[in-house]
Amino acid sequence: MHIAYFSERPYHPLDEELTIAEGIWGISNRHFDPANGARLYNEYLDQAVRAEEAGYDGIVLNEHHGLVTCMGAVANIEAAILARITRRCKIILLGNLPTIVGNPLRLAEELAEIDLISGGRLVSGIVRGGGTEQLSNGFNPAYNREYFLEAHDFIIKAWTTPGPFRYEGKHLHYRFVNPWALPLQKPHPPIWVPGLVSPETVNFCAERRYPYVALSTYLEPTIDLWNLYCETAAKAGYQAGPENFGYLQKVIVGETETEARELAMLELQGGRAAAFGAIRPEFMFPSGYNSRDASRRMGRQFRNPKGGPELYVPRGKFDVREAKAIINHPEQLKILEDSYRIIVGTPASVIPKIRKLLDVLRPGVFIIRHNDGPVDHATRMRTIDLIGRELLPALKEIGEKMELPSPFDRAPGSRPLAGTGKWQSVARAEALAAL
Amino acid sequence: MGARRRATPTYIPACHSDQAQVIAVFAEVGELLRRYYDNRMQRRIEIDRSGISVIEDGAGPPLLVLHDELGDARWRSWHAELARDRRIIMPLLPGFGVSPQIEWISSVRDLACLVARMLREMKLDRLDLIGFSFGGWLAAEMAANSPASFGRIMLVAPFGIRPRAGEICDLFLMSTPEYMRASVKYEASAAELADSRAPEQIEEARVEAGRLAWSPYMHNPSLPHLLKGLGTRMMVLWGEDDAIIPPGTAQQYREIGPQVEVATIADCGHHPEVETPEKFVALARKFLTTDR
Repeated sequence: MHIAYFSERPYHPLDEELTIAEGIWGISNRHFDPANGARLYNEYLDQAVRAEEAGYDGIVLNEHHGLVTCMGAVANIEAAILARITRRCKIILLGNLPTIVGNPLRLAEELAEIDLISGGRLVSGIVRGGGTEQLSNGFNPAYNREYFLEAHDFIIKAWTTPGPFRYEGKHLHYRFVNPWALPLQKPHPPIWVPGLVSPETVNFCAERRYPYVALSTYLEPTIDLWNLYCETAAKAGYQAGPENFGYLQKVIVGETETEARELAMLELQGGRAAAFGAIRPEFMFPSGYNSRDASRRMGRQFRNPKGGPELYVPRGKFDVREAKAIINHPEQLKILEDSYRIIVGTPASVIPKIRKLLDVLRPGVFIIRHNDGPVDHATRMRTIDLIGRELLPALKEIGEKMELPSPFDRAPGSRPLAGTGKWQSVARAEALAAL
Repeated sequence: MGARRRATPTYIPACHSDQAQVIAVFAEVGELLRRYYDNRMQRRIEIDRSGISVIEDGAGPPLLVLHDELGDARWRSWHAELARDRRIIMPLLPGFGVSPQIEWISSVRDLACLVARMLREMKLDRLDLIGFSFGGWLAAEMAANSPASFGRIMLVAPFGIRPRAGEICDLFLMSTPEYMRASVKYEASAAELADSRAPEQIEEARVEAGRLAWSPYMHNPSLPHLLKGLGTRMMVLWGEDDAIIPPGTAQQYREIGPQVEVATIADCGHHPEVETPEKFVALARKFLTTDR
């Protein structure tokens, strides 16, 4: 099992009531303090280096635009720096947005440079981007998926087909494709794709033998989608295994249970833990961004399958203090813990919980999402060390015992299909029932 | 414990959940649509392998009606009034909730040419035309492409020309109910706009409007130039309290030529046909029947 480090690199401090009232996306950038931003970017790079020293196998970077919970707006810049200042870790981009770059050839060149500088440690993730990304960059959401597909094919071609050549597609038109610097890894850097339950994305991955990384999605729909992956994989002629799947999980640890809980409560601030619930639906899912089928699944995904709370819909005038009290209610943390959206405790107390999760989903890639609340640099460094010392060795052992090969241990798509032609589930729904 | 947990809801900020109905499980379209169009006669005009549904009713000289960006083609009192002496032909534009999307159409001008092709298939020529909002833009494009094909053209608060002062309201930065509320001056008219339609149908119309008019947003920079000197009689009608397109934009249509008349309605928003149907019908009938 490949274990990677991830933090969204939040901007903080920021007045919580302001974030609640204006939204984590859409809040005016007049509240951005450049001096504070300069400090944070450097701290986050230092933390990534520390994660490598602590024993992580990979560092995951993402990007969002105009989102206060994520400072990474151009992940390739951070990736390029880490390519030079880390030595061993995979640098995993989840991911790049060709729609926003607006020039996928440029993206192919940037990624090739990162792969070369890092000595072949890049994992490229080409993604559609969330809805807010389309709005932040003026990209037509109705063309998001087809542009993404075309850009993906074009980037692979630019990396693998000797130039110069002409490319004339629907959205992309290049008459002289001949990037000089090509990736070190052959035929090209591995591609993993993160997702939030779009079945189209799952099929896209399965058909191409790309690992699919579920981003903290509820366990039940995640199992459904992994079964969909297995089914599509079988049609493509192979049996999927743990090497085809990744899961990103928020794990908040402290030296003591009390410290862990205090840190976890910070995750709730400003509505962050509500994740995409904290963004207006018409921003998160702009018209045309999702297919009908994906929208239906999305409706399920954001509903707690355990029959948890109803959505908070203010009946009268919106009251920021009322919202703040709801957001920061300790019961919220309990709800998140009960549905495995967050795991909180000391290293010793989180190990059995993570083991159960791994037993259900059986991913070959496990990404630990660290503190995303307003947590200071020293505490972040200390908890990275703590995880490295007391959690990672135990998880490595669990991964081996459970036989969860990573995409680096076993090439995704290399397992033959059973003679009967039937596929086997990778996830264990029966283990979920026992949770 | 269970009861207490339900009392602590997950948080969605502000009045931000209007669209939740759309992203959640959609309603099935069939039954709602039948009620919505009041079982009115529909024809299917085949274009290549796609079909465009057309609502037709009334008797008299043909009057082409082009619906707005949310695909609102509900049969209303003003339709019935005008249908007393006109044959109303109302295509449900492809991709706007009923007729299937036609993928090779990628701009409003393409769509205008498609509607012109549909009229050829229907053997219609020299007909009058009313377009609302997005449909008004479409009508203006058709006029610019082929002025001789139309008798009189009425544009009701049309998109298509960029306002010199102010901005066109961004449909895609608000939920559909918010947009409907912004579209009219009084809340009661917003209810009329939303009445009985399937969220899925409205959402599809939004998607197609966005696909065709995302950038430049809801206008075509070449349109005012191509309309200059147009000989066709044209009326541009605007509500004086239009919050979707600044009402001052109406004056820009005067630059097309002296045959363009501009009318405004006080105490009215972006949808005069819904907000003040009597005034709208009186103005439309006068324009469609009076010779200069």
